[in-house]
Amino acid sequence: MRWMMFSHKGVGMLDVTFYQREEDGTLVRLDHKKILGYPEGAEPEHMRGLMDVYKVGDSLCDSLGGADIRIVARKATTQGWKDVSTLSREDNVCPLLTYI
Amino acid sequence: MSIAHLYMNLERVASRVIDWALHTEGSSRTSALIRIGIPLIIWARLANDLAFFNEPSLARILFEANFFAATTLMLLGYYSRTACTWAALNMLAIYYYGGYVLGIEPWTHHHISLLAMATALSALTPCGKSYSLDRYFAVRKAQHLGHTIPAESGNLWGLRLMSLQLSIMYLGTAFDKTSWAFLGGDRLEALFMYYYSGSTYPDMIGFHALMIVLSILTVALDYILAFGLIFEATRKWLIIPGLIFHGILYLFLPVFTFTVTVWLLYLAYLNADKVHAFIDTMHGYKKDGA
Repeated sequence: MRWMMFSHKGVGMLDVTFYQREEDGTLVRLDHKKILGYPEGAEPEHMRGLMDVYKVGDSLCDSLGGADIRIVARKATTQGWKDVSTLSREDNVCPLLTYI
Repeated sequence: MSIAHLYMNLERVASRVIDWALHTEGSSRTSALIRIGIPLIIWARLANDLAFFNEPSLARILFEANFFAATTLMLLGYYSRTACTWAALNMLAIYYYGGYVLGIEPWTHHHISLLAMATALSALTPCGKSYSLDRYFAVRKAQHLGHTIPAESGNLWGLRLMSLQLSIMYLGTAFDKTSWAFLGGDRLEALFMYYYSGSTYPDMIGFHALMIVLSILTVALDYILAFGLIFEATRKWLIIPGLIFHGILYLFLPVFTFTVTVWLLYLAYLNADKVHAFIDTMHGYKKDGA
């Protein structure tokens, strides 16, 4: 007996949050869809790999020019959410993304 | 309690279960309503896929013609149980051969397998004894010969199997979702995000808590429905929550015909004679059959 219906839907999808680090150190969540001009009512965006994340991050860095952008991501698995360890709140990704 | 007493009690319980499962005679109207509903649901899901214009090859068209013939006879109730068997073979061919051998992935989904199993089980019910051409001809023959009109009744073991099928479905899904990943809200969160917000976590206060609550309620309801729908004393409290639960799934997730199939199969849980009396009341028939 196994739960089959929808048991693998969403698995592998990333939950990605973009933050801008303010000068006082606080992290402000960014609405990347609004900043990057995603059309209203567009289909849900499914980021599945780090390249998907980096592309959006790179666009944000370009849009916000010189901002300190942090990315936190976790991956949906059948065992629940698992953190993506290569991304954390500790690093400004913009300098790193210029090489991608 | 002595061993002998315990054995006698167990024997009594087992005997009642067997009588309930295998030896209950009751109204055939419930079986007939299911027999009528299933081909309509099948057509809603598959008629477009199996229409002749999709692939004009002779083999395919012959299969499709046979599919529509079988399901039409099932709907009309002509040689009802044979028609159900014929339709079931078609559905099983669609699910197994079409889905897994030919690789038509949408045909491997659970709403198709549930329809296939329900169609097969219909062949075991007295589904031709009510609301069917079989019934019409039987009544006309009896009237012509001056015989008693045949009763709308039969052995209900096919309906018991349908009930068992649904209960096992609930139990299986509940058991497999009994994990931290699901009960902690993570899986439901990912599912919601997949269909609604994508890779962006919803900016809503209490979203995670809501997912935890819904996850626990879902699993609890599945366990309760698995057993509670079987017994008349608990069923009356659970039919409406079960219908609403599946209705919510219908609105929020792409379950296709799964919800309406389960709604239809809930008829298998109901007391067939009470359903018969309810329909009589709607028709304005008096209790003594007048």
